[in-house]
Amino acid sequence: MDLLLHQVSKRFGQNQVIGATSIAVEEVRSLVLIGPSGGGKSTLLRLVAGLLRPESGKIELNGGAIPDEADARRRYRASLGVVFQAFNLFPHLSARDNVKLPLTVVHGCSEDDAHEIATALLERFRLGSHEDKRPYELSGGQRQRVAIARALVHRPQLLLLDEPTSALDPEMTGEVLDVIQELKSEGVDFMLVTHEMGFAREVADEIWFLAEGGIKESGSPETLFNRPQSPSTQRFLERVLKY
Amino acid sequence: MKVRLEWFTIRPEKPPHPLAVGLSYLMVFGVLAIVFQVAFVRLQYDWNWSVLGEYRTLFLHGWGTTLGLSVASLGLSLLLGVGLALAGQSRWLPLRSFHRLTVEVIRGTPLLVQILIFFYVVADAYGIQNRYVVGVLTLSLFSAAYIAEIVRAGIESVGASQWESARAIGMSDPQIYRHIVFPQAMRRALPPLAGQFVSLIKDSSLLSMIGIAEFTKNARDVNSLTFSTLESYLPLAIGYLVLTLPISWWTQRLERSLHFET
Ligand SMILES: Nc1ncnc2c1ncn2[C@@H]1O[C@H](COP(=O)(O)OP(=O)(O)O)[C@@H](O)[C@H]1O
Ligand SMILES: [Mg+2]
Repeated sequence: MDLLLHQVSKRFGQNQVIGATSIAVEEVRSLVLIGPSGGGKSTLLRLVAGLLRPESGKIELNGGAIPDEADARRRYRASLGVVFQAFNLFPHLSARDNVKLPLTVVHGCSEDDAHEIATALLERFRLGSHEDKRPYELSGGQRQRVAIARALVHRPQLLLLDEPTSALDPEMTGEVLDVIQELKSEGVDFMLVTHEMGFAREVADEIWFLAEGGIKESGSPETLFNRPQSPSTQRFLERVLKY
Repeated sequence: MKVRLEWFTIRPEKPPHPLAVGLSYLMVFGVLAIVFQVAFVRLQYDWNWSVLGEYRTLFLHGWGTTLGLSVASLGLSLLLGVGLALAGQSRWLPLRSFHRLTVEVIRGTPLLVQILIFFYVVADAYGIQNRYVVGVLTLSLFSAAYIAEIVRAGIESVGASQWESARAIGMSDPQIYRHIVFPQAMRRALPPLAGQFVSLIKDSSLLSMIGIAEFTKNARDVNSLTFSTLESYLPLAIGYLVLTLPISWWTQRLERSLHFET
């Protein structure tokens, strides 16, 4: 993916979450956002996902600016896949129908094709025996894997994951991280917000550290974890890597 | 075999045996039957059930009319109610005002007054002659105000995270309403909707005010002709139950099949 932010700012009321930030990455497969909570990671992810509009500045993904006009924006969102921390799935639909929905409703796929694609994908994520269950019948880890399947089913140009494991216990976290790792080796581009520092280090091509007001530091995992430059990054890493 | 009390205790881990459920209904029914039987014996009421046979066409006609009015009003009120609820969610202010005003006025005034005003003022002025049409329209509008509030509560119960997930997929607002919001809202609205439909059926009796020969009016007529009060009104009660019980059963079944929460 190529991602460019030019003078992007976003605030909520008086709260300047991202202030006039410019940054660019080219041809990275996996971008990981880390930082203290309230640092603006989710906000940045939502800006890139086209779910929030910046007050000023522009964002370009793979050479195209995020469009302003409503229909074009919707098509832009449809070209991505997003997984949130929790409550991703539609509770009234089975796992399979959750995965089929983007295909049939947004991407004009026939019912039969969608069925086939969704079934195959769930099978691949080891969810074959759970296809007909509704979300309340699934474990947290299974739910997140279905959510990832739904975000991937239309082959998005970029997959965005906002703390996909924060609501899960360690075992389920493992299940989900395994899936993300597999995606990386298959060449799916993704942008991930996570508190799993070990995983971030392993999977990231590029890491951005966000704290109050914007991106404080960016670079490869080696430099960022081994030789952090900014004092706020150093403090943050000291705190989270302590135990 | 001894009947044991614990058969009739509901435990979370295990649903009660169907036999226990049936027996339980039978017991309650039996107790009620005894209470009323004693009351009737004390009253020394002279039953005259021949009334029922004699006036059966009047009963049947009335029941059929009530059924027709109810079915028509049920469908129309659901349509109007959903429309009114959507007007209340609109981004266009006049639509919201229309929703608020309609709901408040209709819910805040007696149905009786609405029926009379509609029939003698509005319908007359706009040349609607058919009293059944006026009746169904008034009843539907009345019920729609309540349904709109029920539907609104259902729509609002669908959280922001559902909207965001759906928007992230690239769905448009109408698609989100159709595929995400309505199905979930309907499930949550079903129990209060069932109650509203039952009220609607019973409220249809007020249409006798504008000369519609529905079930209650005909039973009242039989009573004034024969002075057999209970023989006129007990069939009335049963006739309404025949209409309302299926609604309860049907919605309960629907609720179970739409179940999606723990
Ligand atoms: N929809 C919103 N309305 C108002 N404030 C918000 C909203 N979303 C986020 N914020 C605020 O923006 C700041 C950054 O939040 P967020 O991007 O969620 O941080 P992170 O994901 O890094 O924890 C926080 O102070 C939060 O309170
Ligand atoms: Mg966050």
